[in-house]
Parts: sequence; C-alpha cells; structure tokens
Amino acid sequence: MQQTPSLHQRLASDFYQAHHAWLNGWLRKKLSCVFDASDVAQDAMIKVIYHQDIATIQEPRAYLTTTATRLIIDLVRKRNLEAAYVDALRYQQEALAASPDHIREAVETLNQIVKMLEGLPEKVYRAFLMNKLEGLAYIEIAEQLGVSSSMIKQYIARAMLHCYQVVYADDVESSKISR
Amino acid sequence: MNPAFSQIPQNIVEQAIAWHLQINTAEVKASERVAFEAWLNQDALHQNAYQRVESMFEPFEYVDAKAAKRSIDVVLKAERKLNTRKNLSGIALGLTLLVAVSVAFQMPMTNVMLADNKTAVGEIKTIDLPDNSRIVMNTNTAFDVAFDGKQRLIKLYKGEVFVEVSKDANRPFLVETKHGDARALGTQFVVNVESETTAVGVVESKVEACNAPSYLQLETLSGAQRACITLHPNQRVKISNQSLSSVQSVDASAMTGWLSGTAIYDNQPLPVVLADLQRYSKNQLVFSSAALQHINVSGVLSINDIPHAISILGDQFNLQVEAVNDNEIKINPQN
Repeated sequence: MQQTPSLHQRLASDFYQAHHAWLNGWLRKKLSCVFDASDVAQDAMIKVIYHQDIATIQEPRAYLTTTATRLIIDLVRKRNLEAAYVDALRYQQEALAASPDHIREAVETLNQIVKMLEGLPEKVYRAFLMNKLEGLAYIEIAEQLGVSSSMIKQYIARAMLHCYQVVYADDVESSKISR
Repeated sequence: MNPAFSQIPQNIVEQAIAWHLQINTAEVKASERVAFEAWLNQDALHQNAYQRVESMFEPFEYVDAKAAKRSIDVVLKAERKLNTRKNLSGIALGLTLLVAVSVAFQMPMTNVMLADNKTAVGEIKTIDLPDNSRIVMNTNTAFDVAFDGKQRLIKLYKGEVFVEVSKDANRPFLVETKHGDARALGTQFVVNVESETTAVGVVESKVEACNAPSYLQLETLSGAQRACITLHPNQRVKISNQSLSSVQSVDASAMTGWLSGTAIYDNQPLPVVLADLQRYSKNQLVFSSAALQHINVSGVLSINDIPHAISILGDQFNLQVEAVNDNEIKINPQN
C-alpha cells in the first residue's frame, strides 16, 4: 500500500498540526523537569510519521503517548546505564581513559544487551553475563550462584535462545517497516 | 534482509547454541571439532544460524566487561524491583513510576545497593576510618570509602554524614555526591544529600564546596559550570548540578542535633520540618504543603520516636493528626 509522496506529506503535516501541541502538553505535565518534553514530543512525532501508515492509525493520541512512553523508558534506562557505567569505570579508576564517545557507544551497547536480557530470571541472565562478559568458566559461575555447573550451562543456553529471539525478531520487524 | 534467512527453525537455532557452547569451552576434543564441522556443512541454514549466534556477541567487545556487567546488573535489578509482575513489557510501566525511578535512581541507586556502609531508616551509626577520621551516618545513608595515595575520598550516595577529619597535609579529604563535593580544609562538617541538592555545613574550621555539572544531564540541559566556595563555621550552602546557593548562616548545633538524637529547628516552615522528620520515619507522613506553609516551627524534637514528635507538633499547632493504614500519618490543619 504505497502512498504517493505528496499524499503522505499532506497526511504527515495534518497529523503534526493536529497532535504535536497536544503531545507536547501531555509530556510537559507528565515529565515535570526530568526531561525536555519538547524533545521527546518531537522524536515521537517523527517516529510515528516516518514509520507508520498514518491513515491507518485508529487512535492517534493513544498511539503517540505509547510511542513517547517507550522513548522515555529508553532514555531513562540509558541514563541509568550511563550513570552506572561511568561510575563503575570510575570505581576501577579508568574514567580518564574513557572518552565521551566511548561512553556514548558503550551506553548504546549496554542498552542492546539489557533489551536482550529483559524478562529472564535473575540467575539466568547473571550466569550469561558472567560467562559472556567476564569470561568466567561454568564452574566458577556455579560457585557464585550456588547451583550446579550443568545447570549453569542450561541457564546460558536458555539466555542465548532468548537473546536470539529478541535480536532477530527486531530484524524481521524493522525489515518489514523499511520495506 | 533475506526473508528465508530470518526464519530459521527454532530447533536449528538451539543446535547452533549448543554447538557454540560446546566449541567455546576450554578443552575441545578433536572429534568434537570434526562433528561440529560436519554439522555446519550439512545445511546452509546451520551456517546461517551459527553465524547469527556468534554475531550476537560482537557488541560485547566494545565495552569494559566489568563495568558493563555491573551496570547491566544494577539496571536490570532496579527495573525488576519496580515491576514485581512477571514479564511486564516496557510499555506497561506507568509514567509516574518511571519518573520516580529516575530521580531516586540517578547516581545513588546504582551504588546504594552495593555500598559498603549503610544505615536503615531511623538508624545512626559511627564508622571509624583507617586514617583515624570518623564518620557518623544519619538515617537512611549509604557511602563508600575510596582512599588512595593522593586523596581520601568518600562517595556519599544518599543520606547525611557528619565528618570528623584527621589531619593529613598530603591527602585531602573529600566527600563527593552526585551534586558536587566538599573538601575538608579543616576538621568537622556535615554533608546531606537531598533529591535535587546536597547541603554542606561547617561545624569547625573550613570546607571548600564545589558543585559538579552532571555528565548525566541530557545535552539539551547542559551548560552548567563548576563553581566553588569556601565555608566557615556555622555556614551552609546547597549545591546542585547547576549552581551553588547563597551561603546561609545556620547554627552548627542545629546542623548536628541528630548526633544526639534531636532535630533542631529555628523558625522553619512546618512542611520543611515534616520533610526533614520524614527522613527518620518508617511511617509515611501525608500532608499538604500549601495548607501548612503558614506555620513556622522553632524548637527541639526527638528523632527517635517520630509519631511522638508529630503528636507534639499537633498539640502545639492545633493540627489534626491521624494514623491510617498502619503506616501512614495524616497531618491536616484543624477545621
């Protein structure tokens, strides 16, 4: 269902006119001073306009608030990851070596990993991180988590399958959208 | 992306994962290697699946492993705590909840959980440091000690500390919070981390207080600069990531009343007093700031029994004090 560019442009412009100010107001109320509401509003509008067939959206405002909420969750999480990462580096006294660029890239990576691991039981994702990030052997992980090392192997396999499904489900979806 | 490529049957993915784990252990037998090669060559899908499994770990190489693990752990744990419901997707999280997290969570939460020194709500504890300095921790406080050859650094994540510094000309003594730091040029001072600011007050000698523009701030909000001020006894300043407040004159005994189990107020608005008492209270104090703003409090209250302290305030200012649900105390003006 390809639309001609001009039609899409007109729809997009109408959509923007109709909802942008409202979304901005909604975010301002929700966010107080934690984030710049107008940035999130702008990002949400762009996301919806570029990635969705606007004509088919049934409840645009509900759709926009959901999109904006997702963006905020992402921002909050990235901020938390950044704080924790920088702090951990500082703890290891390597802060001087870490450039802002490194931090920015690291936060993106960490965010990807968190998305991969979300929803897994704690022991499962911890076993996975100990193995894949720290390079610990099953037996060492087993000792730390207090389960057998054959269990650790199962945990890691389970975490990997979960990660695979998350990573490649995204791929399928994004390839659909960009068409 | 090739559509066939994205639809690898789950059993093949599982096999690929099993092989990945098998092949990446310390001792791999030659026969296992042969079997693995055979599996790989059996089917193009096998190769695709294996390639995909391997490439999932590419991002891992670009982060500091230890720091990454610690931060992922912290964030996942914190998010898990928030949603006790299982498999709650991101979208289902309420906004109010989220904002609360980010405020409570910034720098502190990360470390509060892992801090070596902690006090519970209502608890006061004294810690002797290796250099003979002494820290008294007020209620609900967490800090780590990071001493090295160059400096004596205390990382205060939340709460309030009274610090008595032993002299060491070669190693400055620093208390650092998410808002800035206080450098002891002399002996006794108090540092209190609040949500948006950190208060630094001096009891004896001199302290240099500096704010720290936060690297956590979004780029759009930045532009804040670091500033410092030297404080003398009975002076207090509030520092935030943006700026330093003007210097307030506060009696040292009022700043340190908690050391002897009392809170001392000098003409403070009641909502400020209640917010301060809340720090010591396991009960939630429920009140409307607007309704109580006009009442000013001067006096000494015990912080060991908050419900009692509230009832004293209630009698004195003719308030309606009501305990609800076991863990809340409602405070309203008398009708």
